[in-house]
Amino acid sequence: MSSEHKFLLGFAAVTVVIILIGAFFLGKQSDSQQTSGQAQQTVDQSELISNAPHTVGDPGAAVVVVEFADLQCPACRSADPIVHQLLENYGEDVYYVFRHYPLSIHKNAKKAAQAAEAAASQGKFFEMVEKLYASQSDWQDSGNAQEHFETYAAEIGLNIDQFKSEINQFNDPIESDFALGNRFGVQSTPTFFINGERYSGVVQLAQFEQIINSSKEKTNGANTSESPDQQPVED
Amino acid sequence: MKNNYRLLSKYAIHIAFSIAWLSTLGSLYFSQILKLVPCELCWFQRILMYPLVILFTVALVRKDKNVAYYALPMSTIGAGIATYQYLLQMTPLKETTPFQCNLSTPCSEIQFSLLGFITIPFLSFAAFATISILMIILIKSKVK
Repeated sequence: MSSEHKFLLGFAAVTVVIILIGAFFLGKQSDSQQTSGQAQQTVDQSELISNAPHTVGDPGAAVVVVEFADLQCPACRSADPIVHQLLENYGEDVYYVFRHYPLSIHKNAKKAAQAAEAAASQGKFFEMVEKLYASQSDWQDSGNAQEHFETYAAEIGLNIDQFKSEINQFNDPIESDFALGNRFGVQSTPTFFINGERYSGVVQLAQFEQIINSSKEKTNGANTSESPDQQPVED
Repeated sequence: MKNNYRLLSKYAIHIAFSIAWLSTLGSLYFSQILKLVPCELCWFQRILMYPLVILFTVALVRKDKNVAYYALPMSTIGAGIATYQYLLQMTPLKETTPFQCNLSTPCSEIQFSLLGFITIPFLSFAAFATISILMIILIKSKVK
């Protein structure tokens, strides 16, 4: 074997080792992100839920779910029925908060968020969100998405003139949601914060249930260990 | 037929250069003028295509057919990546259940298409494959 061949073979061997080590660490990282229960970090969620205009449920509920969503994102669309099922099954245990996080790669996402905000001023935020998710493939690449949004506004019974005049006004709530997301490390959609723990990507119903049940256990456990006034056992 | 083959091997570097040049300018047109943001796989293909312009320029100046040995591995790998991306775009290989949307463009996204099947990775594959064939012809013409 020539010296050049030996040289290259040596480098090839080192490269393989580096790739194996790298793959090992990457695998560990994605495991902790995607398997149930292991979130990346816990944050103080008070800022995430204060002044939240789009919520479902009782703010005092045991489990707080904050979702940062992009209305043009297919993943957020597939997460939507899961959230619905969650609220249906665990309504009284869950306080759900919606936050806008329109990605710049989705050219109509911000406009869609504005459409939802305009619908909100007439009291139909979540109805518009449903419409937008359901017909995502119709408007996502459209050069005139607003036309689609006006159709949806009509379909959910909004005052069209008011909708049209207001749709461009509601930039601030979207910007502030986006800034909030950035402060808390949101980089993709959907990103869920469940009792302050961040989960990137679609969270399956089973995973939600596991988290809810374990947080209920924690609350129950805290209650029994702290219970005062234990009655003395009678002889 | 033999004449055509000889003509091809005589002008292989010229043709390959033109293809690499056109591909480079074309990709920059898509990203800088049409504002289509390149995804990760597009960057890998660019890394292989852009240097070919430089390689072929030097080869033309030096009249050096040995460039085939340097260009062929690059164009072969480029063709492979382009094929993979095309499959991502066109077949169920792409994720049918989306998990999350990132800040960067997904490589399965079809940003441009002609006649329903000519997408940017298709064009990239055509360019890399043609260059590879020309380089093989060059190598074979040296062997004679």
